[in-house]
Amino acid sequence: MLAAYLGAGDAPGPAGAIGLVGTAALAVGIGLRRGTPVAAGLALVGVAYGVSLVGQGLDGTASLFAGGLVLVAELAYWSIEPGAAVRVGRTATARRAAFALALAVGSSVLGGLLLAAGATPLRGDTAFGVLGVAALLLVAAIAIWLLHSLRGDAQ
Amino acid sequence: MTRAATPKLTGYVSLAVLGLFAGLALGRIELVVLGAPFALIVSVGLATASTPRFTVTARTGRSRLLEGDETEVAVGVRAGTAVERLELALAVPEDVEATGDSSFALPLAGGEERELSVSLRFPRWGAYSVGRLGLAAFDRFGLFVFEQVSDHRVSVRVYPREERLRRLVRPRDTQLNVGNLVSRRKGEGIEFADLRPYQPGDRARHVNWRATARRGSLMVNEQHPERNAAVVLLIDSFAEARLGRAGTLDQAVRAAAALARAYLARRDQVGVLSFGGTVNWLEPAMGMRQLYTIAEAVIDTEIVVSYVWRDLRVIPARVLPPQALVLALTPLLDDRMVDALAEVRGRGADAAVVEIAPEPFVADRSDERRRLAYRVWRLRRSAARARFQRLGVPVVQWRAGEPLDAVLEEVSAFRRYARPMRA
Repeated sequence: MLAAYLGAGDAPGPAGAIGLVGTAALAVGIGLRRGTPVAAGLALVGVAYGVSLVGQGLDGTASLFAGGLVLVAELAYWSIEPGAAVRVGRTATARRAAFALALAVGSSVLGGLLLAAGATPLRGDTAFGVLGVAALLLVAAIAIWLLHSLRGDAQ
Repeated sequence: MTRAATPKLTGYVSLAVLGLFAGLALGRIELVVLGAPFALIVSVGLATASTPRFTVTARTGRSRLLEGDETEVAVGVRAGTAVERLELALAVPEDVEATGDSSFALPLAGGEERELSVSLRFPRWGAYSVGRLGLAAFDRFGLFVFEQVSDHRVSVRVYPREERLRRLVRPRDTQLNVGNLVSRRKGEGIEFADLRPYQPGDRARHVNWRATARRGSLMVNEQHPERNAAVVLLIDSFAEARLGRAGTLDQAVRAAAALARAYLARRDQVGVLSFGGTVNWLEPAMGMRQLYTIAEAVIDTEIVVSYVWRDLRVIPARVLPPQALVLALTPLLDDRMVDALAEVRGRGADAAVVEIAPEPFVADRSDERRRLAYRVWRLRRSAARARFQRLGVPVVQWRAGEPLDAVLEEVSAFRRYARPMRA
């Protein structure tokens, strides 16, 4: 969020405002221990970052922002878990924190690779575009299937 | 075992879809960079999530306790597969306190066994079911939760702590069985009752030689036989006054347990009649077996709200034998109980009322209307008390914290000096 606000450049107003609303939603979600406001908050922070990119060139820090967003998401969902009130051993807590940190670092690395791949000039832009759309549709289909199959799924 | 998606899965899928679509639509690789990690986490999570296998056992230490005692519940967990995080929560019944943790979260390696202990304190008498466990296992990424309820319930029976009683209310009449009470009747016994002229068949050892010498004709001694009595403990389960954890029913049950033990120790017959929304009874009997039966019966006493008008016609005659002392333990809150007691007296039975004072359990008398209602309520209670006293039934208030011995002594004193009247 802070990166979005600071990196807003020429249009700090809308990006900052969206980022603040996102942060507020995140705080409300954590306070009320509800998943929907947390997801909305994280999405708004992402939108704020997207708005801040308007009129800008390729942002080299996107991978760091992605890592930070994953870390915030992990910690936020951790804090609203139903069993958050249960006393967990120190080792288990440290292990989980390390895992969240590893995910954030991994996300940054993945983001860096994607940025590097995106910056590499390749021929056949149309073919890659079609491939990208197909991949996205596949992801969307999987997501919809998942959401349907997991709602009250029992075995 | 039920598998459910956590809010995290929904959130991550939404973020992944949003980032990837926005990146494609706007032609910004940065947004794809934002969405891609979430997509990857979801994909790996889906690929690796599998139903965890584990077995859980629960054993309860002692299943018969006294009020205030503690018992341990040992929870054993054996993991068949590795479980990233397993949460266990032992359902703690109402009125029971867990003196330590009753919920645990632990990671388990495949084949690992763990033993957890939950200490439960039972401050109130009653029958409890202990051993119901709620289990939730999470996958590595926290995207799925596998939930299960594991039922290892056993019955834990908590008996009331009894007050030691030194004096008891003595019934007016005795029964036919041998006991420790001197009967008003005449027969074979130790206590001297009267003198009468000798009749054929009288035993020579009963001849009173001094009286014979004085009167010039054979006189024999008569004795009072030692007999036992029948006591019916009438517990009012129509209504109770309760404030927090303390209530009038608790006092009634503790008193019933103490009285039953004391009367049975005196070789009397004791029965219990729980009269209220539901009616339960135990016919009068004597001996240790009856003591245990009564102890089991009284801890099942509960207030069942009912608007059915009940009277004593529903009670079999053998539960209220003639010449039994009916000792009522009641807060006198329900008119049905007041009428039932008046009917007991109307049948000519020997009755006494230990009124468990509900006033200490009345919480709020802050405003004028409440104070007025409280005064009216107290006046109605006084009227009910006066009705019993007109019938020759002693009514003695027993306030929480007072010794029951003092109350019983007051009942006995009333019965010594009051003249019984016909209903």
